[in-house]
Amino acid sequence: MSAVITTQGLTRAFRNHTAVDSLDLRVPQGVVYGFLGPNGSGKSTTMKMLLGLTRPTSGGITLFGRPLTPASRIDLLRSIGSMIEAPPGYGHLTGLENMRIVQHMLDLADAQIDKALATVRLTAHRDKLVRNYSLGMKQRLGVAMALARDPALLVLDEPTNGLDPAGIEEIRTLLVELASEGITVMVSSHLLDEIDRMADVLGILSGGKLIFQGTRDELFEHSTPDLVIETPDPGAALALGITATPVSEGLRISGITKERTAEVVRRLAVAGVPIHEVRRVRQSLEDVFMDLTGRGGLL
Amino acid sequence: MLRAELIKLRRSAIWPIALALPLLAVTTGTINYANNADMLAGGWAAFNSQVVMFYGLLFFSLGIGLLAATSWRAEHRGTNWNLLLTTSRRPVTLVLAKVAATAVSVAFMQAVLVVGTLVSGAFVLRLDGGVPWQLVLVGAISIVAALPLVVVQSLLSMLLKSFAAPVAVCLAGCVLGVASVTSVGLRPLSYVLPQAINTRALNLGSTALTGSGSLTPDDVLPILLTALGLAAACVALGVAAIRWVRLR
Ligand SMILES: Nc1ncnc2c1ncn2[C@@H]1O[C@H](COP(=O)(O)OP(=O)(O)OP(=O)(O)O)[C@@H](O)[C@H]1O
Ligand SMILES: [Mg+2]
Repeated sequence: MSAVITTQGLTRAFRNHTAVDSLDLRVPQGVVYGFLGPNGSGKSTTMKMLLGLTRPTSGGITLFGRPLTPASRIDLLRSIGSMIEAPPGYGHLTGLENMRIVQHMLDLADAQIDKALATVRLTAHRDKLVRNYSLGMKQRLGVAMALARDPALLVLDEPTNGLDPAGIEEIRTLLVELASEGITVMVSSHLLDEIDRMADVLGILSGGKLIFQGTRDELFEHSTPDLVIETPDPGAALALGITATPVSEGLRISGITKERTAEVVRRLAVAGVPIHEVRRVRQSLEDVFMDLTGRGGLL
Repeated sequence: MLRAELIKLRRSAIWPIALALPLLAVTTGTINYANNADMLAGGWAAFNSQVVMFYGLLFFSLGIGLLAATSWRAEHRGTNWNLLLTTSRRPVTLVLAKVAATAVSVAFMQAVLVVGTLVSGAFVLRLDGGVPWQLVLVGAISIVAALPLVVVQSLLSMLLKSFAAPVAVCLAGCVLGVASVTSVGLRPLSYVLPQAINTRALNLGSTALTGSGSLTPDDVLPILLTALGLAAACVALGVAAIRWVRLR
């Protein structure tokens, strides 16, 4: 898979600290790339650099195989839709008038504006003043503005901010759909479960450093979930010399490999200890995330 | 790009400003003329001089400062700058579109002044003599003469988030402008200071300001050419400013 975004040692330092520290991002084509990190970890700063809104202190950015420079920026931006930190918009104008501004700035066709508004389901509210829009409607207008140019790459910074669960689900479905059409979507969030079900690839940022980049499965590979053995007789198991923590449903063993699991199960069966169920605990991405950010990462 | 800027003028707060200032000038001019009708020589020229007096020295330039600040205020709200800077337009287009849109509102302001003066002269004061059509010409010339100030105030309002700061700078320029057109020592300044160029343009053919020049090519052309030259220089400055300040 070819990469739409790559960065080489991307760094941005402010007066007293480094907000983004030597990032080597790789965003493959046609995926939803979840860009995760707690507040202040440097997500917005990184995205601004990708759009040429902020200059890197050092390091480079390559978009669609072309280096991002002040000269190439204007040309590259034609195919990049974006929304950073909060949706833009002119409150004294209607939603449609706001879209017309985008249309004239980018020389877009009427059909592109209509399609973008329909995609975010704002068509019915397009003649309302944006000042009177709800938070979610403003957010959707911001997405429509980013979508209007039919981008090959979408860079969205916390697009679900302030949305209710239904709104979040809607955006999620939309982004997955866009990715299936071949559009590369980079979406940031500080909430894992928001990104969890849509992102194909994850990049996790902590304190300006990239502490993980890869697929969801790869992320889980790095941390082994606990094993739970359901048995009515944990005492008998412990008597066999198995190191485990007794829990209500039986036993819990942490950090145990697949091979050791087979071995433990065999010994229990041979000793006649009744086993009702053996399973891995469903680890939430949140746990892995906390684990990662706490430990300082895997990279 | 200009069309995008024109859309932003809809329901904008610039219109009340562009309406109120010239109407204020016409009203005070009318009252002054009516109160001093016996002392003033009478007729359109005297009335127009009364209207243009404070308007030329203060209201017009201050109005431009306010119009520029108002049109940029919307851009400083929220993340609208991100939208402007990701449009794949060159910075020069951005500056020019904003300047052009502000110039449209300045032209509107001038139209209100000219129409207001004509209406008040003809129907309120019932002045004798033919309607002085050179008022229209002066109104048009002063729109071009205003371009340097439109550009300068646009730049200031673009660079400064504050609404009041650029207007204050504009006001300081007005004070300096008054000094430059009234004192002999500072006279050279009146040829390059945008506010003073406005004053001189509006007073072309007027009797209120000594040495204000007449409506002849000899007096008009230097003003127009300086205005265009200064405006172009300021646009170049603005482009450099966007590159270095906003995209740092
Ligand atoms: N213009 C600036 N000047 C100084 N420091 C800045 C500036 N912009 C950002 N920072 C700092 O850089 C760090 C990263 O900020 P950034 O906005 O990129 O974080 P974020 O991951 O987007 O956070 P959030 O989830 O809260 O949006 C923060 O510590 C912030 O204070
Ligand atoms: Mg942020």
